[in-house]
Amino acid sequence: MGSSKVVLVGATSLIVGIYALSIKKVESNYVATAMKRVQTVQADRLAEAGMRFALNRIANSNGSLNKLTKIGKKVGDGVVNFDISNGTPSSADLTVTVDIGGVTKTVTAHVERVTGSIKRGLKSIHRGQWIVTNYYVHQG
Amino acid sequence: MSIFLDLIQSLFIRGSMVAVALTLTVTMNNALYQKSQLNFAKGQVEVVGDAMYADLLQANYNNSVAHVFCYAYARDFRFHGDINNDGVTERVRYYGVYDATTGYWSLYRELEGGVPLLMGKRFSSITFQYYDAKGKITADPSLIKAVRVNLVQGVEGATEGFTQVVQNFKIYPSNL
Repeated sequence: MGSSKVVLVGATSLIVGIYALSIKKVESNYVATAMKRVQTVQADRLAEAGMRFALNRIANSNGSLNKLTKIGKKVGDGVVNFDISNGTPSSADLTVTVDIGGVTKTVTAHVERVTGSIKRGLKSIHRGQWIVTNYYVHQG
Repeated sequence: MSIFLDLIQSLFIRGSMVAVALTLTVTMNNALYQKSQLNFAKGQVEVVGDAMYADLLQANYNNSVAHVFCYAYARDFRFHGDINNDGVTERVRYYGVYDATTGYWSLYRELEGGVPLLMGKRFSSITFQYYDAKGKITADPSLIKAVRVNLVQGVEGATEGFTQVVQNFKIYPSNL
């Protein structure tokens, strides 16, 4: 009788243990996937924020865009870098790179200074008379 | 006589042990199966959502066509944008097809009117909503500034707990 109890408890524990570990592994895999997705969404948001930040610098540069190249900024757990090229008093090309937890996102855009009214969307990126006209998110 | 009783008792105990072990194995295996299926379905619907998100993000980018959205219905939309940054405007369509025999929707992606690519199936619901610059729901393709995608997919083999997975996101393409 005594040994039967030991065998019963042992077998039960073994079965529960093996399956519990397997279920935990499945859950862990899903959490890892979900976390990766969170970082991707964060990188998207940071890239947009970086674009606004860079555009703000451009709008306040009084036409001296050549002084605004390659500026890095730490935001939360991520780093936002932006690079301004082909700058003229009325337009520039902007590259924003975001690195957060190993997830990188690169966004390129053309920005222009307009004289008329600015096209407004729900989240149109504009500062002063400057507006992002061509926004491309590179697929990582 | 007592020997026979002991034998019967012993058989009963061993039988019970085997029954408990088998029941436990079946129950735990079922739990693992349900979890795995749920995890698989979540991963699958996320991939579909990510693909749609990436495509919609480029709506109107490098667009050489006069309009962006050709049409925008509850389960079908088509738009223009240079989705691969090659300088050429592509026409992308996403649409759902209902299968009356299974009672589920399938989601397809069509590029430049070519062969449709099956993105996912077993969707109990596919819904697209469109918003104008003021954030109000619109059916006018020329006013669209944001799109909400809601995908509800049944988990194959799931009979208890979470039998559906949902992918719901609202996207504001920056070029609109």
